[in-house]
Amino acid sequence: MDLRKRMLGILLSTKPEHPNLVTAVGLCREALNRGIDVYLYLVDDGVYALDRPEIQDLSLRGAKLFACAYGAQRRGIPLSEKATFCGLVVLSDLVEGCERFVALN
Amino acid sequence: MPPAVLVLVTADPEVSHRANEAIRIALGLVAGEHPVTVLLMGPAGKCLADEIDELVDGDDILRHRESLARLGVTFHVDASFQPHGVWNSTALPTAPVSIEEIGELVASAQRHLVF
Repeated sequence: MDLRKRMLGILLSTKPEHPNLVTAVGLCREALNRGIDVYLYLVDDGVYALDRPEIQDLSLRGAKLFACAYGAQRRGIPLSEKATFCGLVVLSDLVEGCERFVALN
Repeated sequence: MPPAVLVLVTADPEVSHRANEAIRIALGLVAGEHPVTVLLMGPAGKCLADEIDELVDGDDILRHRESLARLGVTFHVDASFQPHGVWNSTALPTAPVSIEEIGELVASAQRHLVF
């Protein structure tokens, strides 16, 4: 099955220590390997994963990386170029626009 | 038609901020014109408690639940939930749901966010 240009959205809301990070990274890597457009949205404690090298590596490989600005602000994480900081409108767009959406909470 | 979203909350708002976060996200999705079903299971039913001082981020929970109600969202509450103290005295729209009905809600949604 040709999955190129299909769209996968992933929401990650848990801290980096949670096994969800491994799952999220694994899904993203495999999806990118198969040419899928990957959108990763970090929310709540998931914003702590922003600096993780495996997350930044996904971005370098073409995943679109978003981080909840509200969640980052509440946790003292400064805005930066490491992700597109945004609100829930973007999440809403991903929920609607992606053919598959996986929430890791 | 945007996909229907189920926001299923199991977190206890007396001990975890994640109940509020779930409701906040539900509100954001409703604002994005998604059909959203909010389901409060187990201790998450406390999100509708009157005594918000007992809740983590209680002020935010209060604002978010009132906003959701104004936008037409009904809070589906696990029928087995037993509130302690005054609960939902402002009569936000609620619907008790059985396990079978919870299964139907899960099956009918295209997107699922479980907190």
